[in-house]
Amino acid sequence: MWTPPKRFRCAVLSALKHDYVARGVAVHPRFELVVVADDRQIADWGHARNQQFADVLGVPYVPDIERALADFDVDVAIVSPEAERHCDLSIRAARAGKHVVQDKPLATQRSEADRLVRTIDETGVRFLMWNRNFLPAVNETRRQIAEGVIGRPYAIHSDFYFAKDAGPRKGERLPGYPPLNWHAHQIASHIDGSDGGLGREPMGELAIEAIYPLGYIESLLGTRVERVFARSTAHFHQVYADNNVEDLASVTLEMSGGVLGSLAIGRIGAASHSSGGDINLVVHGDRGTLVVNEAHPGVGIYYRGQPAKEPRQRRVASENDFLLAQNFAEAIDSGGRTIMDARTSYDIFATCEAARESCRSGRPVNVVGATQS
Amino acid sequence: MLRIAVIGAGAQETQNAGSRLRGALLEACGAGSAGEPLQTAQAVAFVSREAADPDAVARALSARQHVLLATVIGSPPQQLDRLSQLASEQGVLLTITRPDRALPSRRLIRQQIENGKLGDIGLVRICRGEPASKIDSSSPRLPSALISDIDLAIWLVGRAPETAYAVQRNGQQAEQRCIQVHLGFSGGGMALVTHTSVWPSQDAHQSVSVIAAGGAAYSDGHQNRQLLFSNGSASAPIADEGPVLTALLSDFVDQVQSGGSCASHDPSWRQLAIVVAAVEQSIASGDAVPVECP
Repeated sequence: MWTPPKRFRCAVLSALKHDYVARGVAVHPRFELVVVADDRQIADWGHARNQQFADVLGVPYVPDIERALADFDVDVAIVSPEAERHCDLSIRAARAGKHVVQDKPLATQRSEADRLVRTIDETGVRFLMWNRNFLPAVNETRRQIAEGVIGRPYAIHSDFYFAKDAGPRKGERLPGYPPLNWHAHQIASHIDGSDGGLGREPMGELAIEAIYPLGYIESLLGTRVERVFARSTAHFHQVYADNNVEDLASVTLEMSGGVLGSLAIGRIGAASHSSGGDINLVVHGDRGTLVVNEAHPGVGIYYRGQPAKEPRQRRVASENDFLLAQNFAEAIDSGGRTIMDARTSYDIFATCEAARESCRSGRPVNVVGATQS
Repeated sequence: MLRIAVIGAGAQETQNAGSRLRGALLEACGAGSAGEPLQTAQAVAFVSREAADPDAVARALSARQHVLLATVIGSPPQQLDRLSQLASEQGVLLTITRPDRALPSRRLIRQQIENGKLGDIGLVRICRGEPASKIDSSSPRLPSALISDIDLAIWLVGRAPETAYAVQRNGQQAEQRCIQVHLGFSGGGMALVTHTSVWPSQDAHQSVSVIAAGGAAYSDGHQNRQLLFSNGSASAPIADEGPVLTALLSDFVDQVQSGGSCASHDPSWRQLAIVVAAVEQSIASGDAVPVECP
């Protein structure tokens, strides 16, 4: 007799930052969002945001995480609160036996990241860090490398620029104004989805976005970053300068297997690109080279009166959300790894942490990843 | 008419450049040439690394010929200092420049920077994949193209770096090499310059990006390629940016004719030599090296 695959009931544990993670999971027919939940003690604006998302979904909002996990027969927790609470919510869900999909970053403190990896290992639940590893261009690159088209890769370079603004430009405000408050700025940025750094603790672009290009590199080559040298600056936005975090960084990556890599990353202002930013990969192998535009395939759309902020090049044919959810479902079914599990996420976290340390010290820094920690 | 002996370029290339220049007559001469064209020239242009023999440059300067040294510098700073001094004594122009600066794409980017359209430079990113056949695997020196790219990065940022970190990794073949140079500039600017030997293709790839406070410039080999479909497969030919020699010589002719003296020449070659030394030191030591430019 034909048996339909199990559907996974999902709790959205906070939608304070990105509801796109929950929406992305829900694209897959095996996942069903059944409740939005959060802790009772969060701020009123947080409850309002959660309630709004629950209303959109047509599901209850329960301001009590443990009760929601227990009462709604939940299989999966989708975690996207402020960054400081990522690990806490993921750990509580895992301890309750729920599989976890988490928004980036993994953590803001190494001790929390340690605790999360330990908990995932102990509980045996599946963990997926939401990422972009299944974008069409990345899939094609992975296929080419796997088929040996370029031979054994020995160098990889990634540019990852978001052509977005973040409040006033650096130096734009009159002297004497108080520093911009990071948390307040991030809360206000929710309206256009540029609140990836939501949290009380300021985070630079290495912490916020580097998981994407570093995720590409890991998923394409399977290498581990062993040592980094990095430079960074707050070059564009006053809120980054006021809070002493970087909006532009470059990182030299020395990786396992003798692979050399580099990363250029930044939130570089809307004026810098007409379609959201230049994102590229160059992979050199001993038999060839791949030069990849991550935004392909796309379609150019131009018309009279077009809003300045509307991308001229639109991405098409992306199944990233579906494929991530499919990968997660398969991992739950089989007990196998996800494309970005807790240990891989930890290694990326450790790489970013080492890069920031290198920026401070001006010296290369060894990366202490999940296997060494 | 300024008579210029061109050393290090082929006859056809020289003829092509000559047909585009006003106020100058060009004659191609072989390296080590001592023939009539070289002796009667008012100026000598050394346009390849191989041709830029310091003794030959010194001979030309001593003969009171203006000199264009349009090549990646392979000489130590002291040697260039001596040549500069000689030019000064002879009252002739010694112009040292790098060919890549004359590429139309690089000039356009530089022009936008100078016009203030891009604002303060935050990052210069140069990625070059060069045919492995161009790599001299027996030489411990940095590849010429990498030195040229380091120069380009410094030229675009507009000041010397304060720190350099560089790493080299070798592939399975001796010619397979990836060198990454990471430069830090005062005020937070940075440059990532990567040179990789592409194997086994004869093809090449290059991209230059400038990320600045008010905008960005992308000169990307990826975007600049065409698609060619032939015999069931696709390739991506690139149209080159034209006769660089013309632009180099045109600037030089202007300098000579405007009465430029050796004192006015661009001193950045000295910075470049210091930076290259720091890069080589970083590769050897595995650590970041401070760059101390005067």
